[in-house]
Amino acid sequence: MLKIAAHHAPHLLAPRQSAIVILLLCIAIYGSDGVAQPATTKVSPDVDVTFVSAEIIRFPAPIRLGTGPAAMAYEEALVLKLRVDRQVFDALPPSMDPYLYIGRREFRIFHIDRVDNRNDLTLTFHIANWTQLDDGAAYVLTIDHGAPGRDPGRYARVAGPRFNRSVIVDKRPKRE
Amino acid sequence: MVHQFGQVLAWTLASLLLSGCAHRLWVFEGPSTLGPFPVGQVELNEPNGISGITDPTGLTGPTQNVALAWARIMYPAATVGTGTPVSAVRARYPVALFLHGRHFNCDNDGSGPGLVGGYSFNCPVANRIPSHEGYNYMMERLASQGIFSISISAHDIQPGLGAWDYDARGRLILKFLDKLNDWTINGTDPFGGIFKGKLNMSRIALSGHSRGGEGVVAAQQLNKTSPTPHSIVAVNAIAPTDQNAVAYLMTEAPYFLLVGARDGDVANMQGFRTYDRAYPDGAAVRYPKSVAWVYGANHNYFNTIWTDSAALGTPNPWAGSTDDGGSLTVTQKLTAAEQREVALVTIMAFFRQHLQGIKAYREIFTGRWKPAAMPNQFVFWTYQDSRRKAVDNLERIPPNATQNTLLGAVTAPGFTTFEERLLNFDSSRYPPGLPTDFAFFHDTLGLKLAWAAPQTYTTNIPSPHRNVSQYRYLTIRAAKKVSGPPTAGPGVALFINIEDGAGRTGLVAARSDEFDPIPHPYQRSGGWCGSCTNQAQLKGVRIPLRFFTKNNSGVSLKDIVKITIRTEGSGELGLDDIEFGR
Repeated sequence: MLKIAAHHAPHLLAPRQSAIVILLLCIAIYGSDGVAQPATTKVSPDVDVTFVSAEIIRFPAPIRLGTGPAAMAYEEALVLKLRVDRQVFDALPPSMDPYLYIGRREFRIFHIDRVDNRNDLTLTFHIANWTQLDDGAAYVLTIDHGAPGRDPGRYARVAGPRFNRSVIVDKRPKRE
Repeated sequence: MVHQFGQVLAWTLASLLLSGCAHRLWVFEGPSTLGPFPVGQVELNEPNGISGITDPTGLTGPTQNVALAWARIMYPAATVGTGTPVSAVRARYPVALFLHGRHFNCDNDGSGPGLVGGYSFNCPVANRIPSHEGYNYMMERLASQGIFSISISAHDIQPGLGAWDYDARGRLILKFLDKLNDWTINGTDPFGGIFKGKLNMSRIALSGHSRGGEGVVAAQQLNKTSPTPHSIVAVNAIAPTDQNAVAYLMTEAPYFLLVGARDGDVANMQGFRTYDRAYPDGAAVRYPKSVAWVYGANHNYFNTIWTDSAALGTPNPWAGSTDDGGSLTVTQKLTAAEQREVALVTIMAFFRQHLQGIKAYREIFTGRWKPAAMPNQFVFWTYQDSRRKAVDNLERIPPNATQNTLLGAVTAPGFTTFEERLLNFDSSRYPPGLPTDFAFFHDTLGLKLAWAAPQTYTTNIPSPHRNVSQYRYLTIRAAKKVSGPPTAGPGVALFINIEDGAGRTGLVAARSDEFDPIPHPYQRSGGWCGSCTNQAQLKGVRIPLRFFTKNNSGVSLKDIVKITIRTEGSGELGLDDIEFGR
């Protein structure tokens, strides 16, 4: 049988090395290790998320991404924060960025809040066209890019949090 | 020193003698052979050697600290060793820069061999995983051939910089190039000024692997607007990602894409999209672009640090793995050594062609020259020259299969499918709503043909465009499509002919697989991307125009009125870029 989970498959170690690994695992469980541990054997391309916040923010200056004719800039956005399990997230294939889908709309991670002594990560998304989001659509975070568009039925009944306009907090300065 | 000079002179003379043509037969040394230069090497490790990428406000760059300048350097030297003087045989040496992709940046056990790693912005120095050392096998060979080679670490970027990840990789490359420029102009290198005046910064080639592959494309595009632009003359991406929200685009240099069909990491073959976008028909400036699509090659084995100990043949303490994640099942595998040999031959050929002007190596990328050093039966080539004329680029919106790019009529009677489709699996840059075939892991509009019995497709060339005598090849891109569980199967053979205004055709149609195969999709199932099976990847077919004019066929290349493509048996394929080229 082939190894599972890129970079993370368990392996045999010498007794002394095993002891070191067990020690490190114990440290990780109690939250002070600082780095991710070997993955589970889970092979799902999807990552469960927990809703943290959704705020409309006006930035002090435009954020400009990319270069060339397709470059994008925006000065305000819905700043959506979701929490994920660090071990599950880090066990994904290392090169693949998980994309967030709300309905069929696709969003890339803007920022990963990675703190060494925490077992979770907070992901930030900037959604410039938030008014077009489908109320009630599930948050789908997956490395199977495009799957919600190719196979919408696959996520129709997915459990977990869903986008809800009522939780959005408008943090933009009030106009006089 | 005299001895070294004599050695190089003898080598050069031998190459010249060997390159003499007889009946158009080229005899050149293999591009990956060990060269005459002794190899010197140094390690750069400056904790705060990089500045200007981090932005505490998060508005123009990542808030995380990107400051570490860590790199391995190998160069043509006077004698083998660490920090030995640069060879005086040549005045200056062109530059090759490598950038790895994402892998654990912190080894947790630190005692190896082990697979226990993780991502951290605060990794202890002794535990930093040296992903950049994974290309030493190529750097050493390049240095021996007279090319200064540097492989840089993206350690500070590895934990993930979100929207800035790829931008930061591109900017990191440019920062290192700034540094090299300063070393050679001002002698500021921390190795005693050994590189002063020794680097030819007008000849720079980039190679990036995985996220580094997206990084090198980013670098050449960011370089355009840099206040201190560099002369990047060749860009190679190995199994690259294409994930930046604003897709980077090749605009400045020849592009060579190397992708393994067994990739268990970037399983959706998103790197092909970078090829599809590069130098399209109608672009003001175009450079050649090529793909080596390698059956049996995975993601990791191009980098020795990412390779598991068993495959490497020696203990690897740095969290190497097979990358066949999520129970990927395949039937064809290259060994790690075979895979590295493919990288050595192709990337060295690409770099030496563009850095040292050895033009004959171009024929490796056209698929015409099969270097003995690599397993050619696993390598499928696509090559599109900068000088080419599209008969049909299939880029019409709304799609219209009945008219080609030159506004000539297209007919395909008897085909069960004859339609233009978006050939795309995910993340298309085309407007939404186009009819799409998800079996093709590309991002291009193309033609879908299906047939239950032999049929003929004809594309007509209007009168202003019929003189193709300045071209030497008729080229297409084609991919076989299959459905159902992955199985072994034969490739597709197409019978291609041209016809002139007097009704003369080639005496026989060119059978495509006698020139370039259109293979059956690589057999893979499972893995992280369960729907990444039967991946239809477009593959180049190049037929010399002289095939149609030989044996006094009388075909006039100054008056070609149509191209015909006849199918046999039954089948289904995607077609793109019907072109005359060089």
